[in-house]
Amino acid sequence: MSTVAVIGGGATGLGVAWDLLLRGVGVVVIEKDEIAGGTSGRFHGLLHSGARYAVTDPVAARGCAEENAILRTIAPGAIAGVGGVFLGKESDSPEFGERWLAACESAGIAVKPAQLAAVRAEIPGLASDLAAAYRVQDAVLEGFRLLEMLVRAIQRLGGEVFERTRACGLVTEAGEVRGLTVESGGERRAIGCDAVVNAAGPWAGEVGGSWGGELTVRPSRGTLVIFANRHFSRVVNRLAPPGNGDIFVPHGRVLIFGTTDTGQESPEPPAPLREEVVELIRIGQEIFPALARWRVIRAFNGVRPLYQRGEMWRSSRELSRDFVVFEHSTAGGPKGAFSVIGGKWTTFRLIGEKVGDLVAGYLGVDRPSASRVVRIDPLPPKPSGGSSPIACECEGVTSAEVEGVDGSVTELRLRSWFAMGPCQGTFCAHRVLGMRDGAEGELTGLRAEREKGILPAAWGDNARMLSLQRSVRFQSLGEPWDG
Amino acid sequence: MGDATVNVVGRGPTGLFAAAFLRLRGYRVRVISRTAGSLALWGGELGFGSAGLAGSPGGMPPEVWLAAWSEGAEILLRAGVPVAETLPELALSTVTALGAPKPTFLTPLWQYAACEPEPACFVGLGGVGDAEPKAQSSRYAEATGRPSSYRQAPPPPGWRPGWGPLRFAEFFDTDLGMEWLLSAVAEAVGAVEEEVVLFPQVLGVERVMTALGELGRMLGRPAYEYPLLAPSIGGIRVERRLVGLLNGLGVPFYRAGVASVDGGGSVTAEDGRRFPGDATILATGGVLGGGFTVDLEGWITDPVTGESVGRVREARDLNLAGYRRVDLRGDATLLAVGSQVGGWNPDRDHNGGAMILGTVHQAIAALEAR
Repeated sequence: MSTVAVIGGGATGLGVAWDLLLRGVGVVVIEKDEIAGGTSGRFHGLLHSGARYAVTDPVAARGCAEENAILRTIAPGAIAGVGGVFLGKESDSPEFGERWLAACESAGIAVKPAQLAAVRAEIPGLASDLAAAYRVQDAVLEGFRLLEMLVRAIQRLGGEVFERTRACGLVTEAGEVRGLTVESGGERRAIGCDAVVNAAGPWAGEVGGSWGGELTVRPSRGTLVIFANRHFSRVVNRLAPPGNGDIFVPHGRVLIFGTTDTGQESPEPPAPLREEVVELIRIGQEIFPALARWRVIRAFNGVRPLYQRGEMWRSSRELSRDFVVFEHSTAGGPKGAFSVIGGKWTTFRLIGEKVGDLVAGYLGVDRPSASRVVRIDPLPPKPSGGSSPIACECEGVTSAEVEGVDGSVTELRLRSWFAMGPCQGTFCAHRVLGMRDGAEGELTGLRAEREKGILPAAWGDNARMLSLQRSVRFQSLGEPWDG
Repeated sequence: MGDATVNVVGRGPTGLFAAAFLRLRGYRVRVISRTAGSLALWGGELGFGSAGLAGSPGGMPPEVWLAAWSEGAEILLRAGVPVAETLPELALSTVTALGAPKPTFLTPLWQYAACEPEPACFVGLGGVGDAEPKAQSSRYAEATGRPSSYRQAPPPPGWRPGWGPLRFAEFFDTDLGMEWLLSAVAEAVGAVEEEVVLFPQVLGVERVMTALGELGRMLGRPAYEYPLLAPSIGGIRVERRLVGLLNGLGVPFYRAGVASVDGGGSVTAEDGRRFPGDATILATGGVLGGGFTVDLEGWITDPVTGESVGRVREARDLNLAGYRRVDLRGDATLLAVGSQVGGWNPDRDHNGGAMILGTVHQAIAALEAR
């Protein structure tokens, strides 16, 4: 049996691994941080209907529409089919609306006109000067949950997933990939494999840059805001060419609003800037005039791994305008080394299938992709806390849940969801981390990480909350002053 | 000015202290507040920074501080908050919910405070989320160099995971709670080698001193509480006692937000009510208390005066909102106290008590000079 090493524990990497595994190929996934620690854990949570891209990118739009239907069938445990609306304002040009309707029809995207009064009844707080409303099949994708489902599904079929493990270099023999050296906890080892897929997202250039050919990733950061309340239960889109601040997604008990699009050099997400957040709010006020008074939990950003059209573009296969797979042997690199760049969360399975076709072809495996039809099991229900005290009141996390996680603070936060609610750890972080060794360093780290997202939205009651957090930290808990 | 009417806006620690100081000087006082006040967020202790009476923060000389602190202590005693009869010379050391030492000054006697940290035994109560005695004890030993141990008592009968500190305190205010504390908890603690035994601050709102006295007698060691986070039972005890004192002195409380204060010192509320007076004291807190508002661009403004007091660029700017004097108009008709006054930084300096008493003292001096 052939084995493929996949670098990157995000949607793309796990999608590729899942597709290959279903073809009978062995897979080893390595992730330098935690699963979903990169771009896949930092998005708006929208499972696109495709309508957003109908005018500007019909191929991507059609892909989204098809994948939307497929994912609802194979992964219902991670999808909430809330439906979405596109809203136009009186001041918008009606011409775009007409083009959009025609483009949706030709891409096979279901769009239904809606009564404004009915939409207002479902979505409180809308502006008074709306002119048009259409319903689409948008859904909410629980990204963290779907990736956890995939990890479990991959492990159940014998695939391996290693977190906090970094790719170091390829092992080649006679110009072919034979393995991958990795480093974990300060120790290096080699994983034997017949091909390597670099799915490191914005880090893909760092990972595959020396594998032959010029691998140019153009990182682009998108900033988003999390509101503390689920103000409504529909996805709200602006009926306009894709731009900043035009998507609102109800996610669990919160509402996520985004995004922006700013090119940057580094693959790492920086602290969100206040001016980006304020720009988002100003744009969003066109749809929800009271937006600046809605309580914000925090701002965050994710770095999109867009690819650079150029040399690599010409020598690679155009799988969509949305993502590209580069076979390094076409540029003098070893055989069996692949890099995938770009892509959307909504189409992660399609990327997995396309990359799977290419890699399976290279390995001489002729089983076709099955990821389109094989169901990904939902997560087992969360065990009840029983008689365990509550450690994090905002998210209802019990002490038992916290004690059950063995890993970094980030892992603890993502698994249990503590410190993710409206108080952002003000009243629970010391409790949750106090149980662990090295708690003081961890607490300082968590405070800095949380403050990064709270500060750029510190106005109104959000500013009061941040001020409270700081007074609790420095006055009640005696944490060292940070000025 | 002694028979003048003063509107105190806000009923956090600063507002309640300001009202008591003024009333005991003969002023007619009313307390106007939009909310129930912030005392339940804080432990009810008053900090003076690390220097104690040897320091003179806020530019006030030591003898003035001595007078202000003595009067503060007297008010607490009159209200029924037990504090030591004599003021300490230097800062005392108390302990945080994390088990770390922290400077304090005027501290209710239910809370542990000492000149030098002593060997201490930390007791946890099953179901009290903030009480992690094992971690507290090891941190305390590491930070103070003093021996420390811990005990874990079981949760009380009838306990459910939703119990917060106030529910525990209500339980310990009942006979059943007291009985359980002095039997099951005392038994779980057993023999203690350290000098003091520290319990989580949930031992009743009303009967805490009885509970601690009995525990101390049974264990043969002085028993104190260590403070937890919000809702702080220590703060709630102080709040109830100060409000009781003020009620007894005939100070009325009104629920209202303040829209404006006219040139004579009278208040117009947001709902249109008028509160005539000769002066108004704003004790509404800074950004945290809601006394200042922060707009989208980060500008910090006092909504009553319309004055811009600073801008938030970094998080610490929230608590350091520029310089702002006590006598806002220079004629003692509108005064600011507590964290409405710029220049103080209790987050850094642990001198929140000094900020409260010092600014109230300055406001009264301005009124008296009128």
